[in-house]
Amino acid sequence: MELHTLSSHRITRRTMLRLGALASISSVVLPGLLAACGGDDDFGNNTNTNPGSTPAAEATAPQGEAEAGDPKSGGTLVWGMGGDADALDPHTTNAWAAWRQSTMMYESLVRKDLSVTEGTPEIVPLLAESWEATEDGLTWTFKLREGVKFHDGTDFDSAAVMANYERMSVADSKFYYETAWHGQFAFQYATEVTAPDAFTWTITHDRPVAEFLSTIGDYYWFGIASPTQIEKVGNENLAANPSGTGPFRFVERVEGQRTKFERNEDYWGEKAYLDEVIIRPILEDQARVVALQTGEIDLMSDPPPDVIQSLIDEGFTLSDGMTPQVAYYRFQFRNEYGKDVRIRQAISYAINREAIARDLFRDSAIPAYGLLSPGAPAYDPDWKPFPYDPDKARELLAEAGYPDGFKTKLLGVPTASGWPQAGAVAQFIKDNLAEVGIDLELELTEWVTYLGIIFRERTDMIMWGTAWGMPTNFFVNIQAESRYRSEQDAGDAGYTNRENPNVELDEFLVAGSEATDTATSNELYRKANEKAMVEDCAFVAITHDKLPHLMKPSLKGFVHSVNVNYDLTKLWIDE
Amino acid sequence: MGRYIIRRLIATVAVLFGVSILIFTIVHLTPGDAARAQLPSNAPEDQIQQIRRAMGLDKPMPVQYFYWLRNAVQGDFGRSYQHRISAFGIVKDRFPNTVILAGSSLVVAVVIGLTVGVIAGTRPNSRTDRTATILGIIGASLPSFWLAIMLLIIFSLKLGWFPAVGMYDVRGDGGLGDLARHLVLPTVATAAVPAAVIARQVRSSILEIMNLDFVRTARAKGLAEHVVVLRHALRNAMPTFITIVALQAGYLLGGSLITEVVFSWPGMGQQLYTSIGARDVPVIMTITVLIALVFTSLNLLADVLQGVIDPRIRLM
Repeated sequence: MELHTLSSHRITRRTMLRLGALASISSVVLPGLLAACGGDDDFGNNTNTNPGSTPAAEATAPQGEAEAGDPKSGGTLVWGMGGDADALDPHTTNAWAAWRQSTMMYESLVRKDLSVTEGTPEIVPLLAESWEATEDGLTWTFKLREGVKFHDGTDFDSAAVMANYERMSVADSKFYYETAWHGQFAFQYATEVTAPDAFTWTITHDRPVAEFLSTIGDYYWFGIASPTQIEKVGNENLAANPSGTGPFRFVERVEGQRTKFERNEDYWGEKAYLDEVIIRPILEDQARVVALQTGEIDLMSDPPPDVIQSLIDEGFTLSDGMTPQVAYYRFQFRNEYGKDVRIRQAISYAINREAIARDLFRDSAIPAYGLLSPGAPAYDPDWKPFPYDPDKARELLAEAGYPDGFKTKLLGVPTASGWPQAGAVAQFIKDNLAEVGIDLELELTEWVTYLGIIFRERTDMIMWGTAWGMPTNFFVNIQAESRYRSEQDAGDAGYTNRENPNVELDEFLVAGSEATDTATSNELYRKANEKAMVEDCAFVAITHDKLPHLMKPSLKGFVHSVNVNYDLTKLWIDE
Repeated sequence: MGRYIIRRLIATVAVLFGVSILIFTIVHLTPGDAARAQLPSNAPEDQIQQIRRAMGLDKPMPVQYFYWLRNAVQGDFGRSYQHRISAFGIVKDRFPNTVILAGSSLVVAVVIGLTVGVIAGTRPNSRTDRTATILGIIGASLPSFWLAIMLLIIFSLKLGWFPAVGMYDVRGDGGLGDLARHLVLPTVATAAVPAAVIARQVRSSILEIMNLDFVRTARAKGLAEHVVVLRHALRNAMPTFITIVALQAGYLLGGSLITEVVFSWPGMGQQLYTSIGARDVPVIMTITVLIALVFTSLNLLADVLQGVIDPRIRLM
């Protein structure tokens, strides 16, 4: 018998190449063929809610209205999300996936009206039945709801509110937790906080804060946890043992698999229809899509834009709308090119936001022109400075002395929670800028490395991007007010920081936030937005993500609120 | 034999020590800041410093490593930056899930690899051998990610035979049957490469042995062919087989990352993937040290087994 080795077989290089080519082709063609063969029988009995509609057309119709049939109680909702929650502690969490879950368990004193799908929602009572501010706008008094119980059986009262406030802001309190940073942010102007009786809580600021209610009502930064529970399990363990007053109570969390909530039968308000809600993190986009198609999940967040229309065609329901999200780039003012306003404006003209929203996001995002999100009171949908105009961009570049363009770097991330298509957007911008002669080298890194890079002084890059937002005007203060940004914070990129204040902009922002009259406040914020975005051109806003959600057609009552969280008590299953 | 094992044990501890220093250094040298990752991108500097102090990140790197090591040998691997719970607790929950997936994949890979390898090795150049070789090359070169997605689309979406994600149906109470159904696709996706590698190694090993004198002698004694192959050839191929299986088992424990992410399998690979994204140093350290521990232990086990089978090895 002859001794053979692997190489002695007739697997030639040509055969290998053929096999490789076959594998590559099949990877592209096979899913398409399978889809074509599969037909629509997966959901043959379901009718498309909007046959032939585009996601954009769907977005304009408020979801959850005019639904046939009466709501039924019962059932389990399995909600597939693209990311897992970090910590189920409303005061420390830093992720939208976690805020959406906190909303179910924790309640603040007030919140935005989650039944509103367009414009600016009103502030509605939650654990506070009513509130009033003194004429000078400095002191707020909240009358708290009586008869409310935490999930652990503790009675809710002003001492509980106090304990939660102290957890975030009073360093010598037994409740204090240094990583409860978000709360500190909401209470940064507080000078005196008292609980005059069991159901009254007051807070006095050193200046009027027009957005105070909105700040404690958004994102559940001030979700009230049971003080008994905090003491019992300790600050660090509250995330694993949450106890709030919300319509759903925490059952269990198996990391990476599921987080389970059940209806709070003792809820003070209108009880939820659903028996249970299970959150299932599925990181891989394609797997999340398949899980929806196979019925392993009922509701899906963060669908890849390319599959939205085909899922609608299969009978799934789309819900999307106006959200607080803004994806934007900041200019590096210490960069050789970035310090010239004409170049910054040229870049702003050169970016085709409409095409990004339409082609890249398949209309699951709308073009953005400012830092005010669609849910903010001062947002104006018709305000569109810097329309796509490559000729104007070339003109400005020539004026600035760079008729042939230049080469520089843009820093971004390929993917990040709350920043869909981040890498593709960067690539799109690179192509846009190449048309006017600017050669962008993309530097895309994972999120934490990215944070490390932008906060060190980097003058070789002209722009870096991020995405978040709030449905309040105050977001502009956070981004642009000098007071918020220190000299060491190189992320500030040399634009408006404490040592180098932008006095005019600060005046608009401070006055806007102190104005007790809404119309005046909005006007001041619009001016501030215009100053930062157009005159100074410190930012380039790209898109507002519409946060599309796809769901089984039998799921009813999902209302796509302007906030990033949703009221699941109205959700029911029609089966 | 005792001295041999002690020598190998000392080497194992040294490797673990080296791995922990290496990973700690790599994680700390790459740009990025776990304190910042916990806060919104515009958080004020003094707040970030406060968090950094609370996390112990303000200390020099060697000091941080010393604290980590001191606590780790006492079984305290710190708290996850991301989830604010015990890092060891997170990994402890994930470890069995990875062992289940890696174990079933290893069983499949060994059964397929050994069978195909022996058949191909005893029938060189036959149609079976050629088919096995081609399949082996395909199996070893298919990107796990692509294979996993293909399996999902075909067997989960189109045929509806197996569930797409997770370890259990989250609506139900689980159970062995449910686990088995969820295990099939990730197992196939994970087993493809090791099965191909084992088959190839077993084949060449058997092929080589079948030409040696003692096989010829066995045949001359009139032994049946299956006795020659199974009792004589295979036994002599065992040292190679054990080494390759131990190596593959080690790779499977640490290397099923892609499969775990695609199929949402709640194992260490999936956890490592999210923890790296969040620069969750305590969890990254716990997982990598655990993988290194298992890997080196498996190697130690393989060396000892080889020593048992072939006494000459003990003298090396």
